[in-house]
Amino acid sequence: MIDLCGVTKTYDGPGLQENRDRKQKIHALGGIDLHIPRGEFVAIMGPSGSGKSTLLSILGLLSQPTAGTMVLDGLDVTGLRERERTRLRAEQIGFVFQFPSLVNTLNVRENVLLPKMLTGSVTKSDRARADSLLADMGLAGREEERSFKLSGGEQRRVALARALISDPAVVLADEPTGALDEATAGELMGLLGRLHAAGKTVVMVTHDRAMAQYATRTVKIKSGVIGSCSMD
Amino acid sequence: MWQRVRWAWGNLWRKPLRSALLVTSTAMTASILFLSYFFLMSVDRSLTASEARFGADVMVVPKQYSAVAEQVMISGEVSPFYMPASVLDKLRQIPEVRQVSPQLYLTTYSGVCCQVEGDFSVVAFDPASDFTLRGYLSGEGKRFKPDSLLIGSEAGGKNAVNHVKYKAYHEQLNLFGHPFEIARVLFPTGTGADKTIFMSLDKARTLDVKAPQDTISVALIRTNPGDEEYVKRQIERSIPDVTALTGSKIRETINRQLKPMRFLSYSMIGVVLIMAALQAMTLFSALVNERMREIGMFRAVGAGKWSVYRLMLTEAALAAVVGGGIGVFLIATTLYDNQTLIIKAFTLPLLFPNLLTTTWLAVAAVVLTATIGMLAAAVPTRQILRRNPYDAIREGE
Repeated sequence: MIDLCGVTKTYDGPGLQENRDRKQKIHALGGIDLHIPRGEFVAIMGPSGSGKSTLLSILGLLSQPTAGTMVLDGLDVTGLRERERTRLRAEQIGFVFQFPSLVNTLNVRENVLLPKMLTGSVTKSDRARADSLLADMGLAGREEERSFKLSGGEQRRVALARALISDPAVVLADEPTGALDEATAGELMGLLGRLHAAGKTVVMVTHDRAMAQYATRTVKIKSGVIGSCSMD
Repeated sequence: MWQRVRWAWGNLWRKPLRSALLVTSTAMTASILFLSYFFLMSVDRSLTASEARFGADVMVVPKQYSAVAEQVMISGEVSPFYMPASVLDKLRQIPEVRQVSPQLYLTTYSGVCCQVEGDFSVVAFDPASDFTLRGYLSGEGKRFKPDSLLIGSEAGGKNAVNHVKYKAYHEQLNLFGHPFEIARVLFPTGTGADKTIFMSLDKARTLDVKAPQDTISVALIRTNPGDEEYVKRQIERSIPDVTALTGSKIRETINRQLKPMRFLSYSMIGVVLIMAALQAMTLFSALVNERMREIGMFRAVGAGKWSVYRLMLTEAALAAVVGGGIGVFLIATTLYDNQTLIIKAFTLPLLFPNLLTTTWLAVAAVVLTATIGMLAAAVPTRQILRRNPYDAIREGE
């Protein structure tokens, strides 16, 4: 499903003290090789600044690798133009962010429909799918509520429903249980587990060992390099 | 599209404070723009009217009074000077002259006219041949007879204009020892002509008006289009004691005098535009930056850059149209409601534009404000869209 081969990512850092015109180079990823088969649940673990989020950003087609290639579902996406990457992202990838990132001015259903609202017009079947996803997340009857009135856990579930509105093959989650209590975090991980069971490819960034146990494979990353893999 | 507009509209409603700020800012911008152009147009319209009123194609005056006459045509304030009335016959003999109408400038009347006290110029004109005052006569009033007067708006006309339509209304004025009745009033021009009282030339000749017998002050001439300069030369060749001034020369003088004012007005509009754009940009920039996380998230969930632009620009346009509409409506109604007060307060000549022109002006002001608002929203949106969406989300959290 997803293949990374020799992926590096280098950023321009602040100017060097001795020469302001020469930018310091920050190597966020240093040659990542990673194969994620369809339907796998992968947890990427590592300390802060290890390159987890950069890796997720590349997997989500939000940024381009400096070198190396990435193949998504048989298509080399490395050299694709911005428009193509956006289309692929809308069709094949669902994002769950560290914070729920809901739009406070929209109600629960509208938040779930957001990707559709942004990419085209919302149809009746889209609304029906949004309501069905919300029901799956245990939020039936809350569709018309304003999103900020929901609890933290409920907001995460809405964010997960939003990630699934386009029925993507891949779900990327960046610390999805951050700032949640243990029980709520467990509920959310249960939902991600259900997605995996339904055949979705799930890639989750976390630094919580307990949460990583829900995954079928854990990839450890340190200083931009994958150190070890452990299979479930 | 309507779905996007509804969403943008909802976003505005659900953030009342933010939207109120936007609407107020755009209302101020639109109203200032409207006001600037409105005054410029009022002044222009008024000057065109003044020009048409006293700017006959050719004006003939005694030779030594050309400079004074030029000022008379521009300001409408008269000063007595005379030439023989026989000049009129000579002028009528020139084939290219279509119409000739004499005016005699008399002494200034100091007193009260229609409850207005002041010094008013008195001009005698020939109602039969006149073509300059006709267009400015009030629709209502009495038939002009030898014992009738026409009065300018500042010479009591404003008080009389609402009453002259009634048959029972009789306002009398004693001039040169003779009782006259106010027949009609002239619409305001904003020039000295508004403080003028007009009487019949034939009647003036029967009174002790302290002007030499059988004289006139000016002869106003209408020619065929394009013949003005030719007629002027013909007059100066055939009548040596007079000077002929053409309308084009007067127009040149008016334009020369108006140049600094026009420059000032356009500069003011330019400064207002720049200030409004800067103010809107500052506000929009702050508001768009506040939504950095949201914009990053939009991109991450699959929205193209253009979709994000469209949403932000739709919100900006809606806020600007609502704010601009409110601003223009408030300023326009205030202006029309206080028209008389404003005309009195300003020494500039002012004739307000008609409803159609005002509507166009209002629409233009709102469209321009919306354009400024959209540009102001586009710049910070572009900056955020250039960032990695993931960084935008994390930075905005």
